[in-house]
Amino acid sequence: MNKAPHYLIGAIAALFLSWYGMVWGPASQQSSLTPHVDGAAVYPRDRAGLAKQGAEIYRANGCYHCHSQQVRQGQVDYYLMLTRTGASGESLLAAMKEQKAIPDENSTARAQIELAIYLRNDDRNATVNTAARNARKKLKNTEDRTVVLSLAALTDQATKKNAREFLKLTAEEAGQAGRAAIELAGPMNWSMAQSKLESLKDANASAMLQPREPGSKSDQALWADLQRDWGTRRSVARDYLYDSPAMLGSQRIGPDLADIGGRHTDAARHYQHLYHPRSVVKKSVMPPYTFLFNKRAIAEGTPLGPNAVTDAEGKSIQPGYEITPKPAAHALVAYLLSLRQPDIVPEAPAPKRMATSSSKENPK
Amino acid sequence: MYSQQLAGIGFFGILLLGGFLGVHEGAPVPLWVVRISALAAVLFALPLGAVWWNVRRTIGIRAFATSHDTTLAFVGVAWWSFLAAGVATVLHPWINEHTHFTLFTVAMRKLFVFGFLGMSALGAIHYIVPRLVGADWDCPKCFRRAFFCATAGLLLYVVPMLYGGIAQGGVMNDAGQAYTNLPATALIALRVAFLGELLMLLAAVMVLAAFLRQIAMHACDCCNPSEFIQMIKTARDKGGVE
Repeated sequence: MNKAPHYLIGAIAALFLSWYGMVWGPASQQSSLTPHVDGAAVYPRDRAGLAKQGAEIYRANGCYHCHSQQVRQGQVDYYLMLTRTGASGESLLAAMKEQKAIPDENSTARAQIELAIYLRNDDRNATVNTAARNARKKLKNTEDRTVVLSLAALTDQATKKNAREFLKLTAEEAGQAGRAAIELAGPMNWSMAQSKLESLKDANASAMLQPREPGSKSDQALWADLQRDWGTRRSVARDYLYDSPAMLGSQRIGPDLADIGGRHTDAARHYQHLYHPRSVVKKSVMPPYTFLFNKRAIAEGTPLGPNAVTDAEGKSIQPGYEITPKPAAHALVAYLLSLRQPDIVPEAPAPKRMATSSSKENPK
Repeated sequence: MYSQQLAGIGFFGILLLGGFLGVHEGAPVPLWVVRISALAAVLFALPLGAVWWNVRRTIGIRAFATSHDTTLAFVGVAWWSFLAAGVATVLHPWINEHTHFTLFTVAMRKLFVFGFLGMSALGAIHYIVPRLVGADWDCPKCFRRAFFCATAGLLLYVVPMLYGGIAQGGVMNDAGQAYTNLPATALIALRVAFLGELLMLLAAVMVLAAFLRQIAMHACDCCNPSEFIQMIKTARDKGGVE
């Protein structure tokens, strides 16, 4: 019996299935991705002229062989954070109790929440006033008290002034108060945190989820990228919206460059590093890209031109010569500076990181 | 063959799952892509096991090891490379966060491309060419030597690179270590692997030379130098050619 046609059809079907699963599926899901707009901030933006040329220089010199452009991150634990107490204090307290997301009776956080509710509430009687004064005693420093102002988020100037005086804060201290958040519950997984978040929103309060690096060591491998300051968050598909091709890289002989423009904003450092890598990173194995620079012999004492590549002390990178970048070097550095993955995409909020004891040893 | 069905499972299983493999943990793709890839990697054990069992029952487990036939020797190395690369594929979901971005993946690729594909191709050349040109290899020892070169080269390449890759992964995933240690850990592995590559190149050149010689000597009369000279001499003796 001739089975060749069956095998052929089977083979085509198998290949179609894997194409459908790994090419068509993700592509159709991600094809609707657009830049994220948050007020005036739009991310990502298409690269402008010089940086766009720089991408070609990066590609032509094979930089992607040794550098990846993707930051990994392990799974996070979620914490529920209260940012505004909202209008109805009673329902907020009830909701927090119901969700088992209420700080201890005697904790500073509980006192702050109760004070914020008190400050928003017009209906004050003697009992409530005494309770508030007792709560105020639990706040030890100025910072603790400014948090209350942030939680209460008062708009009316007169009420604001009263609140400030009640908290014994000067106008200056109150003005410096930034947005604060109080931890209510955690660690938990996303779906559980999400349901708690919804119930607090129903109580007219504002809260947010804060992802954090888990304390356990089980998942440490993937956290190394963030611990090395290679980025503030993991890379997501949206980061590469305007990259064609996306030079993700598959080897890490050098550090990850996904956020190189974010951690080294100084162009002079990039020129110096490209011309003489070991003058910046002592044990670097990167080859020097001297052919991207012009080299001109100069007499000793001749002042250097404005474009000359210098070391950290302002001397020429190569004594006796003036080194200036060629257009290709300008383009490459513009591209490197354009490699940024800021913390504004909603699908990957920057997790709060655990402190690493030995992070100082890392050359960035 | 022991079982047609097992062969079918192996063939279609690899064809179907192959496309899903290899997405690493933490890649900038939706999480389900990473998960489905991990699932495919685990399922890959099925076709791998099917092929292994089929081959084992067809030729026995010791056939490659005890064979003095050069073709079988090549295919034997290819077989073990296939199994090793396959096992690494199945383990990929568990090890990739330590091995991705390192020399480990390069070594695996080499194991599959040269170890499996290359060695089977060399074995096939050893088997087919004499039958095509109608004459035994002029230099059977050349092939034996090429086999040893290729196998030694493969081992010298893959083993240090696997080791270097794992060491590299250890440095990469430990933020406490300076990043510049990373290339340094892999350096000795790369140096040994370069010797391995030279041996593989040597093997390829030897096979190419033997192949060209075989073609020249036996494929057709006019491209065999000795026959060609003989032909001209005969013609001149007859007075036909100036």
